[in-house]
Amino acid sequence: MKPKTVQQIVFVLGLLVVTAGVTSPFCWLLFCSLKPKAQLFTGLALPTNLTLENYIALFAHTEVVRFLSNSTTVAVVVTTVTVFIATLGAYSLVFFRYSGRELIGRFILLTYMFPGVVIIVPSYNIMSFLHLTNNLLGVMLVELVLTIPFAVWMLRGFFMEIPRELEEAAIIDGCSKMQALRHVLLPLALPGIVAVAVFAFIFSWNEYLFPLVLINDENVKTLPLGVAGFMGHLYVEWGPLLASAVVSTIPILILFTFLQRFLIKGIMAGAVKG
Amino acid sequence: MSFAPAQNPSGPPRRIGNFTGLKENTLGYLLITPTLSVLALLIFIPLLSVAWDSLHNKTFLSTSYSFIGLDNYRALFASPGTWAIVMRSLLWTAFSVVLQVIVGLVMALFLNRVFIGRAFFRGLFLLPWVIPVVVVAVIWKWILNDLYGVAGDVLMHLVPPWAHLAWFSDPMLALPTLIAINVWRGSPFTMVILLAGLQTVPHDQLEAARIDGANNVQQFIHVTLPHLRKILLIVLLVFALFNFNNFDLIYLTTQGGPLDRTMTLPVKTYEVAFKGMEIGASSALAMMMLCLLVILSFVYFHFLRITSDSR
Repeated sequence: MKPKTVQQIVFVLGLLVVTAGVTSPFCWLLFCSLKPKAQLFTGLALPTNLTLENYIALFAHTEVVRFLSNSTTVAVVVTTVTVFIATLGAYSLVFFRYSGRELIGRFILLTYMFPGVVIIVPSYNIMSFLHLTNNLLGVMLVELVLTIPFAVWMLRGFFMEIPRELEEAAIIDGCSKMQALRHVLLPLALPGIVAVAVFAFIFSWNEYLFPLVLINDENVKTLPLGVAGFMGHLYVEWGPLLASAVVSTIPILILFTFLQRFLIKGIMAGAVKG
Repeated sequence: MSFAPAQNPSGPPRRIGNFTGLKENTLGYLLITPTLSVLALLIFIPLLSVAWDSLHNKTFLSTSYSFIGLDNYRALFASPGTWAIVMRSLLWTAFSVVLQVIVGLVMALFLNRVFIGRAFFRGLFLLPWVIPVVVVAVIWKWILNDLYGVAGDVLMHLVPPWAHLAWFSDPMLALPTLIAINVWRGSPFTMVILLAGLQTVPHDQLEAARIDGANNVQQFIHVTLPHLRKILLIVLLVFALFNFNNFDLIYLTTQGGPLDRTMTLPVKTYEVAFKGMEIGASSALAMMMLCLLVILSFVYFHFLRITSDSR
């Protein structure tokens, strides 16, 4: 065999191994969630048939619809607010020349990696002072801490790629600063804004710690809390639990299928620049 | 760290900037204000509150409390349990990040070529990182269940003595199991970043090294690695912080057990506050965690400066 062919075979094998390693746990989860209840614990033996009974049980006997709607509400609001605030912030950091700009940039980078667990007690106290515990609004507010620093930082990376001359030209042509942002920069930074929005949605959708601290009322639980609750029962109902895990993954999968090229760009802008 | 060019290096200062200077800067401050207020309100003030609470014997059970100076810290330092937790946090961080980077790098080197569907696979590999951690916990609790997990069935055929190991509840196994799951979750992500880094390695340099008789390993060490240096250092730092701060994965799988064998600083901080109801003690732990993070980051950057000076 030619060395080229050997290389190719090694490559394909490598790709297969990595793909299997990464995806097989997901496939197993999906597969098991479709097994009949009586055959869940048969290990590798093939089930006689696949069924949706675990999903039916999940939607019929649990509050999962409420969890889903809570999570969606929180994620959509957090994403919208984050994109709005971060766009203005990043614009200010890149296209203005006031003093202290660098310091602010560094400060934001610092908070980017800030461990949320350090501030759980005051976060709880503040929200409880504002009567926002067991309230989705409280969760949304606190989650801005997680999304805004990385969003500003990532968008800053995207804005820095836009030639300054474009903005200057717009201003010479009579645009105000804000018009230049709206008509010239935003269209150019759109991939970055999409990336930031997707990341903010994912962060917020996945967040577990802050909702755990702020919420104990079944009616306002977000999906991760709900799923963790199913897992925490004395007797774990594995069928609906596995189904709920699949349901929690689906929105992320959909976002991913359509928007993953933006995500890669976003990761690189956040990781490489700076 | 490069920020946007502050001034055009060539040419006269912009007339427009001078003319509307004051107004423009005011707008600049105005636009950054929402960002800064969120951070001030939700990070900075809470942080001051944590520092303040750590000096008081505050609990969730009573509204009265008093100033006790550094007693919370003294209690913390006097307890042998604290040092075990700090050491375990560092071990967890070090093993996780080193394995995530090595596994990610090896996979990236394997997959560093143009092939059909590369974008698709790259996206696929990001999945373990972007799904909710609670799903990761469900998946692995299910697969590694000691009674009916599929891992047991597979191991029955491969390594029978391992078939019924209690991955999460055996005190010796719990931490390595969690590290393995963490590596499964993190290394595809480091791989995607490192793959992008590998694209920046100039082909002609690799070619030249090859013509000069360098084998694959030598090419890697002398050409690829220096080009990857910057991105590797960033990935190391960011993932070290990610892992050090990790709460969800540990809490959702073992809650720090069995026998505290997976108890790290973030989990302990949560437990002391919301299970033990002791705000003061938890705040002292949180401050300690923060100090540790700051010290480690400083050491890292100091080390970085030394190594880059010597290059």
